[in-house]
Amino acid sequence: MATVTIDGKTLEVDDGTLILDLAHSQGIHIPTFCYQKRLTTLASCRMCLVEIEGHFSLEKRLQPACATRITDGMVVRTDTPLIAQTRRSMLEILLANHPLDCPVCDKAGECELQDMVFTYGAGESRFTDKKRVFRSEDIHLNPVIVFNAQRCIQCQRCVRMCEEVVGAVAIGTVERGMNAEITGFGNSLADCDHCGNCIEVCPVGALMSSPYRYKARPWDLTEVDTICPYCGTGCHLTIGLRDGRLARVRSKYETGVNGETLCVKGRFGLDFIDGEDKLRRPMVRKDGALAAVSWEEALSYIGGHARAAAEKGTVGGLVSPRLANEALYLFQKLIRTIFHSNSIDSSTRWSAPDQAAPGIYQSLEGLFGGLYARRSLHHALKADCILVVGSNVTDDNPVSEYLIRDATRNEGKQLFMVSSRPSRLDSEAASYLRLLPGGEATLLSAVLSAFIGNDGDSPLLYRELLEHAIPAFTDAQEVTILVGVDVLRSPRAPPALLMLSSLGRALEASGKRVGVQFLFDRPNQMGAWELGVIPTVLPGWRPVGNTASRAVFEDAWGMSLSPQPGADFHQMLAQCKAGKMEMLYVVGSDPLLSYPDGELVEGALSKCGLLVVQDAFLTETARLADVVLPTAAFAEEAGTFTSNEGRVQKLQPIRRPAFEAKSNIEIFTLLASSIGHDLGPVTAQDVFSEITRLVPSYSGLDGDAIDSANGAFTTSSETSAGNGGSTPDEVLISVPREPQSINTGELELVTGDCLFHSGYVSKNSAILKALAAEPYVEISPQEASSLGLSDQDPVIVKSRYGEAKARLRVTRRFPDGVIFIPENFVEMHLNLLMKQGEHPCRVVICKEEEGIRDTIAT
Amino acid sequence: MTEKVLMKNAEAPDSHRIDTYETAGGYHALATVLRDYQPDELIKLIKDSNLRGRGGAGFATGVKWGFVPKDPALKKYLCCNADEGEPGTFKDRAIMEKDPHQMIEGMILCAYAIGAETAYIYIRGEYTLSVQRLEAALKEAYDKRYLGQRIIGSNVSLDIYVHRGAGAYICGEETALLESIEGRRGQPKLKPPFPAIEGLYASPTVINNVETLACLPHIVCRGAEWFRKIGPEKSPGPKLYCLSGHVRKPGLYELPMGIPLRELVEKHAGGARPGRKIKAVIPGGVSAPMIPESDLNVCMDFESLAAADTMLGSAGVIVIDDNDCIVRVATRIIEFFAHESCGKCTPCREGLSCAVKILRRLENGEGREGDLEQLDFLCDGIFGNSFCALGDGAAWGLRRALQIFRDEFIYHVEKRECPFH
Amino acid sequence: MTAVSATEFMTEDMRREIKEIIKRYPKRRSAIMPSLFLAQEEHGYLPDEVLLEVAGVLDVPEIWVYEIATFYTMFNTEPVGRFHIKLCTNVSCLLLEAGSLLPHLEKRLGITCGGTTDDGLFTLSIVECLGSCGTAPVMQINKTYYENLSTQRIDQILDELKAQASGAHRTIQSRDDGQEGVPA
Ligand SMILES: Cc1cc2nc3c(=O)[nH]c(=O)nc-3n(C[C@H](O)[C@H](O)[C@H](O)COP(=O)(O)O)c2cc1C
Ligand code: SF4
Ligand code: FES
Repeated sequence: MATVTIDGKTLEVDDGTLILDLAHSQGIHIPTFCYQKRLTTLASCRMCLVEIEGHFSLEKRLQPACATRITDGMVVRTDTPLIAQTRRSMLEILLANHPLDCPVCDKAGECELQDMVFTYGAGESRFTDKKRVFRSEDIHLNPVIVFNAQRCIQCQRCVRMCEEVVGAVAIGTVERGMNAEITGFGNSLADCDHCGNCIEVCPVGALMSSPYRYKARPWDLTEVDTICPYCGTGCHLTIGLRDGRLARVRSKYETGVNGETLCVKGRFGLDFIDGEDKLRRPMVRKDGALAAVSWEEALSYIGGHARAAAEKGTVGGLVSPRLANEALYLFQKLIRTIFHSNSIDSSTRWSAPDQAAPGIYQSLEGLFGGLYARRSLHHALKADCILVVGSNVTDDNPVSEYLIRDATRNEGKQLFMVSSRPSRLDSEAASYLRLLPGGEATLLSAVLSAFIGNDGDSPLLYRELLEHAIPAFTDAQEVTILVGVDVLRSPRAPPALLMLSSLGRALEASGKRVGVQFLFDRPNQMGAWELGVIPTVLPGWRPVGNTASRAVFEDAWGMSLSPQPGADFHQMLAQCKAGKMEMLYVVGSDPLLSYPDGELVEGALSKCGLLVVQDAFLTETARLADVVLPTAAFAEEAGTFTSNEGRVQKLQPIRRPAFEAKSNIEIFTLLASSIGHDLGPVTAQDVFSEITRLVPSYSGLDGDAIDSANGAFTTSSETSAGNGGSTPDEVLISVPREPQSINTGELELVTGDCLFHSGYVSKNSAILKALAAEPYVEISPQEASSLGLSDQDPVIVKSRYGEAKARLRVTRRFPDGVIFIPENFVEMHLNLLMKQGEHPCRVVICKEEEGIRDTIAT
Repeated sequence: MTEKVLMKNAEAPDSHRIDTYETAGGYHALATVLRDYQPDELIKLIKDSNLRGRGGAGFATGVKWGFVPKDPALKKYLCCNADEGEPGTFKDRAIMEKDPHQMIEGMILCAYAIGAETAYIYIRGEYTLSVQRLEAALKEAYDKRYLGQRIIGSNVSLDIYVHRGAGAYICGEETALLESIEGRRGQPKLKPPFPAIEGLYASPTVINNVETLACLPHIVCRGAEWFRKIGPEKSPGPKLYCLSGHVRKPGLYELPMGIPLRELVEKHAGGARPGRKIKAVIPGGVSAPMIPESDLNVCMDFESLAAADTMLGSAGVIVIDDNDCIVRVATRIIEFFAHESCGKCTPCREGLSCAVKILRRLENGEGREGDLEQLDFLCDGIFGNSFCALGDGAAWGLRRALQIFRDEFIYHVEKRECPFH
Repeated sequence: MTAVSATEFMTEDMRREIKEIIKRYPKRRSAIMPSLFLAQEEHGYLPDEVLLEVAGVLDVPEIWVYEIATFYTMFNTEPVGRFHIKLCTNVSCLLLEAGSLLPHLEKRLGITCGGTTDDGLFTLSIVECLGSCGTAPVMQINKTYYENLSTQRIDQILDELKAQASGAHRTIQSRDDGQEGVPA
């Protein structure tokens, strides 16, 4: 502790407190430009200079509050005439060159320089010489970032943001002194992440958003705070609307998990909400073609078929984990009650498990009962050791990646990365391992056996990671494990999850705190699971087969429930194929594109009794449907998302659904009543109250709890089965085979999200589509040259089942033996290359004009 | 003292070769130290000698070394500051071209004292001959096992690498120098942490000037007492003075610290050129404010010059006679600093460029009323507020010129012309 | 992850040499400056393609290389003539009338400061202090210092260099390695 006097007030504070933080805590405002909490300290703008008694040397009269730490006995003054004069001077000197083109500057009204001059400045600069002009026209660094060099005040926030937080190291400073200018290599940022975080932190109108350019003045905007619909990180964002249309998206300093950051999808990819090609009216297939009809007609059409289907209990429901909690919950309630079926699923993108379906859910229950860390990622990353398995965080969850980078850079946490593709975090990691999806179970078992001291021979591949990780785990007091979608998408997800629980338990048994979180690339997979969008468990992980569990809901819902576990989506497809599915209800999902076996889906759907698709857009699956119901897009309905962290956050609609579309919950309610049933509460708020009453982990979250900008956390549910983890010995025996070796010439195809797209929703964003218009095939330089291929070559990728074309992208540090193709491009029909249960998929690759030389060995 | 110490070999043919150096007693100090001194004892010897840094700031060398943590597990670095960019200065170049082994031996001694096994010489890129001479000298030293593993049979090791600067005066500032070696733009870093605690690659680092290092073998051979007795007790030692500008005999002079400036200029450098009178002298490179002729009796040491509101700096003495214009000189100096400002902090980056615009107008006969007040305002805004000493030095010098030769400035404003050009 | 470009400007030797340079430092980033010197020696200047390749060989972000190439004045991002004349105009030289040498050079070469002669032989720049103030005025041409300049001496030097370029090889002090010495 140190005694410090600030502006005459004497206090006790921790040694080493920053003067700036101390001042803020005392309500004393000290102006800053270059300071940003999350970034390294520069102390270059000299706005925050304060007086420290005794430090008054000849040259340095004042000290920067942003960089000076309290020592015992310090006397600090922030309000002397000298300080006021210095602030005025700094501003005046800045204004000597800063253009006063505020009337045409996008930033006017929320410009930090403008505000600062208003508060501390002299009003104008006495300097009358010509101002510096870098160039007469602003430069478009890329399609979303435009730069006006004249306005830059060289605070370097953008550069530090790009390097230290985003890790892209794309923007930098060229030249020096008065000629110093912010830019990318060759005056372009064409290859950067396009996240726009540099724009967000720019205090002035130097870096600007092209899509927002000249669209509005800040004071004309209506701002709505909501949660990003793209991935499970759950970033808080603010939509600025002008005349009801989206003008821009911003993030807010120290708000939400993301603070001032977003990724490209969140910042620029929400333009789809104003898309013109949204579904306008319900449609029913007539004479082989979809024809627009009224809601009454569509609902009664479904009603006619559905009544019979409901009696037989042969209805299946597939819903997207992009929907809000309320819609997800109501959907499973609809299918379970009105349709007497437990066949509900949300996980369209996963390969069918090669074991009995319930396996994966059992493992999940175990995790959610105990190891799952329901707290902010920020908090979870305070662990001494962080293990990331099966995720390319950089692409899947960019903002989570920023937080991991913060933790390893600034707090010296030990990071271990296990992923199929190289990631920017590799360079931050104590050790990293390239592993094909599906290999996680074997790896985790090796980690576990090494940790509990079973020194069997671990495969050579793992050795380096183990050498670093085991001592780190052993020394750690707290370990956080982040599990990516690669793990879940593999047919071997069940053993991987079992191993994960076992490892977690073993770590716990040796006295460590352990936290597991998933890195979902969909915004509400957590909600989907916890609210019962699972064939085997009711909301809150209550097994359907258990009478007491069912009784809770039967009482609450006033209907009887089937005790039979339902089918997951893989099984639903099998039922369709066998002609046993009377009605398949698909909400917000596009399995025809996303299910890893396109042929299977197409065949199955054609044999399904009634295919109902509810979506905001005409998806590929919707084109095959018998009935299409237009529903709200993101930002058109109220509700909540539950993030990867278990944080429940409120969505704020900006308007009612466009055209004749209706909100998801309204449609469910109407559908129920069209077959003569009442689904209960009708507003999102009422549905949420029901959730908080019936789902223990959500209890207490109603009312004001989730109204704050930072949402509120779910709590560990006590009713969960909690038997997912087996004892280590059991598991070691059960852990199966090594990844198989492959034939020469063949490569393993890995698919996943790229930075600009997640799933197929982002294709409706004109901006994202323009930024990443084409699919590509990523390959290592060695592999490319051994195949005689070079960067940008058009190539054909062929599996035993199909082929796809794209351009080659040769990437340094990409592993050999693997290629990556982003799965977000509709026209590629990537899933036609794959077969259910075969994962990863073996392919060969060749130049387009040459045709395929080798065929795949069968 | 007429005896030359640092330049004693300079006249010899092949003065840069190791044979010449060894013949004159070179590397004797190294052998002595490795045999008779613990690192601590060497640090104490240097402290006792009162050697102060010759790079400009005049910080006590032994004290600086003493800040380096003793923990043997920590990697430590030594950087020789051979970036000599201060206008008016050419002493380090002379050492490197004429007698580079002095400095190399000094580096080995320093590295031994602080426990560094890797050292870099940061040399300004323009000095191609110096680079060649240094590289050749390093090779000679390696061949004789003064460098490398197990130096002359001891268990001490040291590698020295040459790192060429590429045209940035600011890299002479020690933290910018470290940034530059790390491969970044040469911008000064926050202190604290000081380099002795967290310097190059975040390891404890000592940065010393070429001339500072070159003094070390002599102190070891001849003792702290001998050194302390040359010149004033508080800033003693032999010193290289660089004389340039309007004197009859410009060039490099080795004389004791503390010699009166007048003696240096008038006796050694031959005084003003025929028919001219000295008007002002910059005593320590352009970062040091000029003083008027009337102050020439000041002594050339850290304390005396500080008392005269200027500094010894790099001992680059630039003489200006009555035939030249102070506004022109001030303009050129501020142009230099504006060109060399790294651009990091607001006052230096923006303020100096404003000052340049105003000064250029004055010199071109386009002065306006209020210009001098604007310059005063800029000096106040920059001095004391800039991130590093570059801005401070620039503003200090301009402010002093404005004070001492205000009449000349006023003339430019009022008559809208330069009386000299 | 940066894409790998297909064209290569760097010789195998250079790549090898850069790999040697990397060993002198604990971090690869430190090797940017020395690598750029090498590349400039080879190409005369540093076009973007070369910068990209240096970034590739060092495996560092491209912008880092770009930053260095533009911060330091000795790196030329534009082509320069065979003889790059760098005239010091700082105070010590200025006091000895370096100011009048500049127009003289411009007139003799028929270019303005910063320009290159049509035959690609000369580029003229002004530079800050070259550390040769005791022998002012001074200029550096490529690596060589020319001191105690006067207009006559400049004429003589230019003639020599032209002759050297056209093959007639008489010599004044123009070893490309050295200087005319420092007065002591
Ligand atoms: C702008 C600026 C430029 C400097 N240039 C040099 C230089 O060229 N050579 C040098 O030795 N020191 C220079 N210094 C001083 C160094 O920062 C540092 O104090 C010195 O190298 C320490 O060595 P010493 O203790 O041996 O003097 C400069 C300082 C500043 C602020
Ligand atoms: S562009 Fe903006 S954020 Fe970047 S340095 Fe300039 S003012 Fe700061
Ligand atoms: S905020 Fe402290 S110097 Fe910029």
